[in-house]
Amino acid sequence: MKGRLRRAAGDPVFDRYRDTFLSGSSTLYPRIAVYAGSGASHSWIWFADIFERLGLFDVRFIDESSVKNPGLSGFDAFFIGGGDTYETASSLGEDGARAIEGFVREGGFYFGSCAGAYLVLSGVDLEPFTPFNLIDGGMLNVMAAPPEPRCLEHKYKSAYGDGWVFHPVYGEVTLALRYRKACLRVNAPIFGGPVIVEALPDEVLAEYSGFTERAAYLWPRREAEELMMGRAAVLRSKLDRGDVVVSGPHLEHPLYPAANAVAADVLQAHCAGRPRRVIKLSRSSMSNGDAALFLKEIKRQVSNARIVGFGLEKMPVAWQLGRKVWEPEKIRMFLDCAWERLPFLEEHEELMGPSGELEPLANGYANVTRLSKSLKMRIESGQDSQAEASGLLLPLKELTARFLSLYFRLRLETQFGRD
Amino acid sequence: MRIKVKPLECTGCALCELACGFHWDEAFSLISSSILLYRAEEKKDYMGVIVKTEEDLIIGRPEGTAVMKLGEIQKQGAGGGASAKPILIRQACDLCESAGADPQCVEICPHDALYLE
Amino acid sequence: MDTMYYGDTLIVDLPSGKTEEVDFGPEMLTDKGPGLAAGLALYSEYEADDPLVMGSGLLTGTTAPASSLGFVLGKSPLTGKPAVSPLSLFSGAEMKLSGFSMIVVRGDSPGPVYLWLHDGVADILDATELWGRDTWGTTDAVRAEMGEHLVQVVSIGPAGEAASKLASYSINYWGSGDTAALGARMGEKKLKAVALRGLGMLDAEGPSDCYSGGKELLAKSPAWNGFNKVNGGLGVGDIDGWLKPLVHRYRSCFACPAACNTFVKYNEKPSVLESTGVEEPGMLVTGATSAAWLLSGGWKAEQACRAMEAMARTGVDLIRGARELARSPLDDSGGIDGAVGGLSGSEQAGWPGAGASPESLFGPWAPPLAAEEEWLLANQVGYVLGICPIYLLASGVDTAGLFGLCPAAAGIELDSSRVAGMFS
Repeated sequence: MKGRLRRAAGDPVFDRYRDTFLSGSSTLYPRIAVYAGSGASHSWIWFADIFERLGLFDVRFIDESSVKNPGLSGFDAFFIGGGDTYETASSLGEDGARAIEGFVREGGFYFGSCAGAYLVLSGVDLEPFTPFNLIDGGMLNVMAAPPEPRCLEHKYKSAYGDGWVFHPVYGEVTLALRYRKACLRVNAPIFGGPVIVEALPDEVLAEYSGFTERAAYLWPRREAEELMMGRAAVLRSKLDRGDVVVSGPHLEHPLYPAANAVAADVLQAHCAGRPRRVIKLSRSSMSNGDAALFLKEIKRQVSNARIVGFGLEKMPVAWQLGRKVWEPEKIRMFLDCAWERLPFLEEHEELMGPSGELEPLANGYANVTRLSKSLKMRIESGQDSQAEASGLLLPLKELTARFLSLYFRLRLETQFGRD
Repeated sequence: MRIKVKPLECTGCALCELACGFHWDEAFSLISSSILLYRAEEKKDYMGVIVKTEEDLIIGRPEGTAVMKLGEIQKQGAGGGASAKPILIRQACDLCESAGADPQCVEICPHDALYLE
Repeated sequence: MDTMYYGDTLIVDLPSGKTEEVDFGPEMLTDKGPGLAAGLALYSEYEADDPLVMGSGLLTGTTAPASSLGFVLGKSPLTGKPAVSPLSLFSGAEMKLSGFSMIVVRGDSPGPVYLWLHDGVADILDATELWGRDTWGTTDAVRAEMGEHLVQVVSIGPAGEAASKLASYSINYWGSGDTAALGARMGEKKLKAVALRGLGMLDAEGPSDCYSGGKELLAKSPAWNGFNKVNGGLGVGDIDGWLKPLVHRYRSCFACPAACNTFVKYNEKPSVLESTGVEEPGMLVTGATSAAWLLSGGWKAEQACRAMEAMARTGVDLIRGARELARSPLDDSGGIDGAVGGLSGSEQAGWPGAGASPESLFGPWAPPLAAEEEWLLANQVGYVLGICPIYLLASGVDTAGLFGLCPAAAGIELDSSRVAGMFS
C-alpha cells in the first residue's frame, strides 16, 4: 500500500484503539459482519480498511440471505454502509429487519452510515422501510419539489413517496462532536447521507458545523448552511441490551482517520465491559503447492482487470443499477481493494487451506477480466452497455466480499495463531 | 481561481499528472492525479488535458476548451466524446492548498499549457 | 528500503516458457551501478544464453528533465558485439512502472510469443496470431487484447520476424532508434513483442527532495518544439521547415521539456484538430537523423514521411533505411512500399554530414552535437540515469544537478567519472 492510503493507515490515532481491542482483557473483541449484499454499493469496502487499522480481524462480509438465515446471532457488530437504500430494504425484507432488531436487542451493535442510516431511522417510514425502525430520527433533506441543483444533477435526489430525498452538499463537511468533553471538530465526507432531525438530544453524538473547500454545493452555500448547520449528523441510541449508531457522513472513509476514530469510539464504548470471547480458529489443513499457483493467477487476473478498469475510466458512460449511478471508476475500487491485500496472502501462503478456496477466486477474477474487456468493446462499438455493466459489477462485488472474508480470516489467524 | 488549459501548447509530457500525483501520494505515479492527460488515441495524435474540480470538469480539447458540470457527464451518451469523461472519482483539484503550495501542475509545465485564473 | 527500483530482476527463459524473479539487490546499485550499468552486468552474467536485457535508468519516471529513457541491450547481429538501443516516448517509464528492475530474456522460444509485463506479473503469451502482422497491427491487437490503449508495445514487424539485419523494433507505431538490429534478435528469439503497463507508484529514498530537485532542474531546462535544435552536426539545414506543411503537433517523450517528436498528417489536413473518422491520418516522426537523410537525399517531405511510416510498420531501422533510400529520390509516381521492400541493408548507421557513427555500444540515435568524447559520456550518463542523451546534448542541462538527485532517488552517490568507469 502506498501514497495517501498508507499515510492515513499509519495515523497514530489508531494506536490506542488497536491496543485496547487486541490486548484489553475487559473489552470484547467483536465478531463483525459487514453488509455487502443487494443494495450495497462500494463504500462497504471502506470498513475493511478501518477494521484493519483498529486491529479488528474477525470480520465477515455477508449478503441479505445470510442476514435472514442463519441470522446475526453469531456476530457482535453489524455494519451497513452506503448504497441503494430501497434495494437494501427490499432485499432484507421483514425477515431481515426482524433479524437485525433481534440482534441489537440481544446485545448487538448496529452501525449504519449513509444508506445504512436512512434504513433504520424511525422517520423513514414508507415501504419498504417500515419494518426497520431502530432509532428515533427523521430526515430534514426531504421535499415535495426540491429546487434545481447547481451541479451533480445525477447525485442530487431520489424519489421518496410523493416527494424527493435531496442532498444539498456533496463532499467534505465538518462535524462538531458532542460526546467528548471538549468539543472537537472533525471532517468527514457526505455522499448523500441524511440530515437528521427529531432526534433525542442526548442521542446526538455529532452535528454538522461547517463545510470545507472540498465540498460541492448542489444548493447555494448559504441555503445549504441554513438547512444543515447545527443539525444532527451522528446519533447513538440504546435498544434493550444493544446499541444503534447512525451517521449521515461516511465516518468509515479511509482517507479520514479522525472520522474513523469517531466510529472507533462508539464501537469501543459498546465493547467495553462485555465479556471477551475466546477466538477459535479451525483450519483443516496446510497449504498444498497449488496455493502458490492460484495466488499467482489471482494476482495476474486482478492486475489484468485493473488495467482494463483504468482504461474504462475514460469511457463516456455511467450505469443505473437500481437507484444508484455507478461510474466506471467503481470497478477499479473493488479491484484495488484486493490488489492492496494480495502481498499479505503471498507472504502467508502457508496458511491457505485446500485449493478449494483459492481456485474459485482465481476463476472469478479471470471472469472479471473477460467481462471487463467485453464491456469495453461494447462501449467502444457505441452499443448500450447497461446489461454488461451489471453483469460485471454485481459479481465483482460478490467476489470482493469473498476475497475479503478469506483475507480477514488469514489476518485473524496470523494475529491469534492456530489451534 | 481555477486551473485553465491552453490545449494546443500541450506536448503530452505528462509532467502535470506526475506533479499532481506526487501532491496527493508523495510518490511518482500516473494513476491518481486530479489532472489527466488524455492520450488514448495515439495514432490520431488526439490529445487533451482534463482537470477535475469539486463540481465540474475543465476539458481542454485541441478543438476548444469547455467546462462540463459533473452531472451532465453521467447522462449516458451525453456529449463530449471519449475525451470528456474520465477521472470522475479521483480527488478533486484543490490547487495544492492542502500542501500549502502553489499549483504544481502550473509550475511544472514546460510549455505554459496550464495557468491559473 | 524503497528505492527507484522496486521490483526484482525478471529472468525469462524462452525455451521452457518459464519466468523467474531474482532479487535485484541493493549491491547491484552500489557495486555495478544503476540503469545500463546493471544491464551490462546482467548481460555478462547470462552471456552464454545470448540474452536481451531490458531496463530503465535510475531517474526514469521522475520529475528529472527528460527522464523517459529505458533500454534494450543485446548482441548486435551487425557487429557481433553488445549494443544498446533506446526505449523512449512512454515505453521507458512504463518499463519501470511494470514492476521489474531489469528483464533478462534468455534463449529462443520454440514458437512465436510475446511478453506481457504488468505490475510485477510476467506472462509469456502465444503470439501465433500476431506473427506476420506489421508493428501497427501488432500494437492494435495487443492493446485490444489487454483492453487498454495506454499499454506500451515494443514490437517487431516482418523485417524482425525474418531476422533481417535491417530490422529494428518499433515503439507502439513509431521508429525507436534501434540501429543495432536488436529487432532481428527479437525475431530470432521468436519474441514478437514486449507489452508493458503498470499502475503502481515509485517511491524514492527521499521523495520530497527527489521531486523538488527534479522540478528545480526542469525549471532551468530549455523547452522547444521540433528537430532543429538537435539538428546540429547533421548538416542538412531546416528539417522543421521541410516538414512544416505537414505538421499537426509536436510531442514530447515522458517528462521531457523538448517536444522533438513531430506528428505529421498526410491522410487528412494537418490543421484538423478533432478526432475524426480517419483512423490513421499520419505518423509521428521520432528521430531527426532519419528525416535528415531523406531531406539530404532530395525527398519531398510527404513521401519521406510515408516512407518512414512504411519502415516503422515493417520494423525496419529508419536511420539505415533512410540512408539507403536517400541514394534515390522518389519521383512522383514512386512506389514507397516497393522502395522500402527493396532495401538491402547495405548502409551502415550514421549521420549525414558527419560520417559514420562510431562503432561502440551506442548507435547514432543521439546526433553528433558534441565531440566524440562528450557524445559518449552523454550516452553513458543518459542510459545509466534514464535521461534522454539527445536532450542532454542539445539542452546543455546540468548533469551535476542530475547526479545531485541520486541520493534522494536511491541513496547512492554518482558523478561523471564514476559513470564512465562503469563502462570501462
